[in-house]
Amino acid sequence: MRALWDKAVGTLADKIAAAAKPARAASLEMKNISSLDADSVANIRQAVVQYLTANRLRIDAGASADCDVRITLSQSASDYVWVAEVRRGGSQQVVMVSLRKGNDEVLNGHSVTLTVQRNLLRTQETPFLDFSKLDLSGWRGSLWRTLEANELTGYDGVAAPIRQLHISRDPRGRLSIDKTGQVEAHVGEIRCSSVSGSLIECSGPDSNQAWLFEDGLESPYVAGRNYFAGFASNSTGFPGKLPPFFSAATFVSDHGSSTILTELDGKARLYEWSAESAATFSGWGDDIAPITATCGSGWYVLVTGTGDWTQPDEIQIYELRGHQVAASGPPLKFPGPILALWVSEDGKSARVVSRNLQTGAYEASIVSVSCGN
Amino acid sequence: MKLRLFLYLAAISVVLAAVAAPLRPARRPRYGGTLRVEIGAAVRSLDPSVAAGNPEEAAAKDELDSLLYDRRGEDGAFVGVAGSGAFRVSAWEEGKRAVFAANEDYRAGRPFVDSIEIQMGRSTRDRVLDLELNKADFARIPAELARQASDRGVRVSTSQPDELLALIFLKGHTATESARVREAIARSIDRAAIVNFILQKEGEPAGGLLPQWSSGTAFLFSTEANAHSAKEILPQIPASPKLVLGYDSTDTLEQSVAERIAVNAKEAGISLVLRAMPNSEMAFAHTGNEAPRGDASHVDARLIRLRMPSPLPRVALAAFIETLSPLAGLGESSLPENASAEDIYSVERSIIDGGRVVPLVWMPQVYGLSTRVRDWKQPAAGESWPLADVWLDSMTETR
Repeated sequence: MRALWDKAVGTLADKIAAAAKPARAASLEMKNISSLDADSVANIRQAVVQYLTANRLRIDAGASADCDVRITLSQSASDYVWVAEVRRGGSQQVVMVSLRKGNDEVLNGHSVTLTVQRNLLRTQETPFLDFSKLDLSGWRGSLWRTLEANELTGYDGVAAPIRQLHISRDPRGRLSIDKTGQVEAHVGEIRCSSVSGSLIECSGPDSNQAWLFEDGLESPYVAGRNYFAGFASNSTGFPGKLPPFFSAATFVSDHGSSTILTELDGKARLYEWSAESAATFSGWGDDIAPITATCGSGWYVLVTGTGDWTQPDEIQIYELRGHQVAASGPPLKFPGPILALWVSEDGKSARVVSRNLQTGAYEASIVSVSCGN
Repeated sequence: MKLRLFLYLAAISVVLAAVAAPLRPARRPRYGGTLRVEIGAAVRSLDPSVAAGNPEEAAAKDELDSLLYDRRGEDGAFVGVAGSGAFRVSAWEEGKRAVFAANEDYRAGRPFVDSIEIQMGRSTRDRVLDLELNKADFARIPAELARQASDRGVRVSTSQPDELLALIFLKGHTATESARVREAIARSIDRAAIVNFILQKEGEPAGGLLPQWSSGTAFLFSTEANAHSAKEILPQIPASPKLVLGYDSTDTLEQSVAERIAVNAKEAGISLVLRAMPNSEMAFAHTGNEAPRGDASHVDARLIRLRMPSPLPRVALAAFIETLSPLAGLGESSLPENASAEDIYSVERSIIDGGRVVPLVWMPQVYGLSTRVRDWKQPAAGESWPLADVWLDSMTETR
């Protein structure tokens, strides 16, 4: 049992023992009307019995009990509330303890072995747009770089402010760090990059810095919105501008490149060598990312689910075969909406920022593809 | 009234199957469109310094101002200029209609919808019908009508129960000075019947001043009716009491509940005379001011609605005590910032045991939404309508 719970149980047992005095034996009934699971309830009951015994109040369901204790494991909006009703003779006394509901349990055991698997790395109460984790050899912890709408926090905890002229209610941001440690971050129209050492500088609030995508594609961001203006012909190399989009997945081969865009009408379209789409895919969410699978030579794309931010989400992997796509394996479920999905630098995994609707916390995860499961 | 409304609905309704259009695959919010809102109140002025004429108008005005102003002062009043918030007024017809346009420069980001069109003074019947016919995107629905509206195909969003309907025995009235009289009436009330039949199961019996989801201790307060023990108390009362119970004359729910209480009390041998009170007489309860002279003083007990200003039990209980104290003459209660769950329960218990406040039922806030409204999140107790965060799915069919 967690230390925090143990302390609360000890306090509750002390209060029960004080209310029960001078009783030496009590009957104990425990009822759970909170979100605690059966194992937790059993652990709490066992701990209560131990603490009461240590307080010289023996639990005895038989006739020797001269006091009745009924414990209700309840909860309020923010706390667990554990209430004990102590009945002795004709009188009753109510005692209770409360302790804050944590979300730390979600950090345990969430690596799921599926076709697409998730490794939950971190949760935090405030929203963020992207992240980077640095594992240091010889040190058990990790260093984090976090991109938020108004600042980029470095591994050293120092934050570089990001000032925007046009704020979006659905801000988009991406953080890239190359092998040499050079940092490049975009938030809306603002671009931040390393200047020297750990020093980061961001463009001015009135700038409009294009985002770079795979294969040298680049697109401006639409001010104050949540989407990109589209790839221009000087970026794609063919005549005509591609339409505005939410996210892009580009696949490069010896023969050229193909790009899938999730567009504002809710459809995803494949573009090959012209501004005319070669194929349209329906039923996809707005965030996609290309990914490499070690067991296959095909082109794979991770696709978020549909719905909105009040619903759970999922990531499905598709294989692109010519102008068609085929889902591969079951989708990986998330307990809330995926807010960002960006492919990692090596193309073998993707960073995911999501919101857990049960806890309200924002979660940083790495998803990768495993074969044969 | 409620029965008439639904006979009317049934009579005029052609079989309009709820065309719950398939949701467009989308995750990120889309920009654009006009959100059509209908409210019951006729708001005469959006100026925060101009007092509303009644509680319904005050509540509606507060919601509208929350869209126009960026922030509130420490006293909860809006500060700054209208238009500093997510929206700006682009059209205004006093008491009838308003159009709010998205504020492109709002510091928290432009709202997703381009504008909100608000129709005022719409009756409950009209609001439900317009939701049903997809002529409105957003409107409040009384809790007691939620189930029927849902059955008729309206998309309904229901909050946790955060509004308490309670019976208050007013201070300084001879008829209610006897604790035994108050106890007999309180024990006679069948809360389950109020929830099941009047509220159509959209709510829950209330025994305490805070709901279970907020305090975690509501289960410690009994909500059981006990007509038998109420009758047993009667011989202990010297003279057969005759009390006047007041309710808001414009509130059909209060009227139904008052009638039910009178029936229960009669079964216990206590005579309750009902009196419909004009809205102006009821308003004093919401401000905490002294009761005005006149007819209100002829009422021994009254019904009151108390909406939680916060999900936090300490904050909500403190606000309730502030409202109830001038009416019921509650004693001093101390709720410090760091009050524990035990402290809060103790204060709540002492008020309930005093017998001047009888919680009846907890009711949720219910909203009707069109199918094209996306990312709607129920506001928590004390929060305003989050209309800057919703967006409209233009691909969803409308009728």
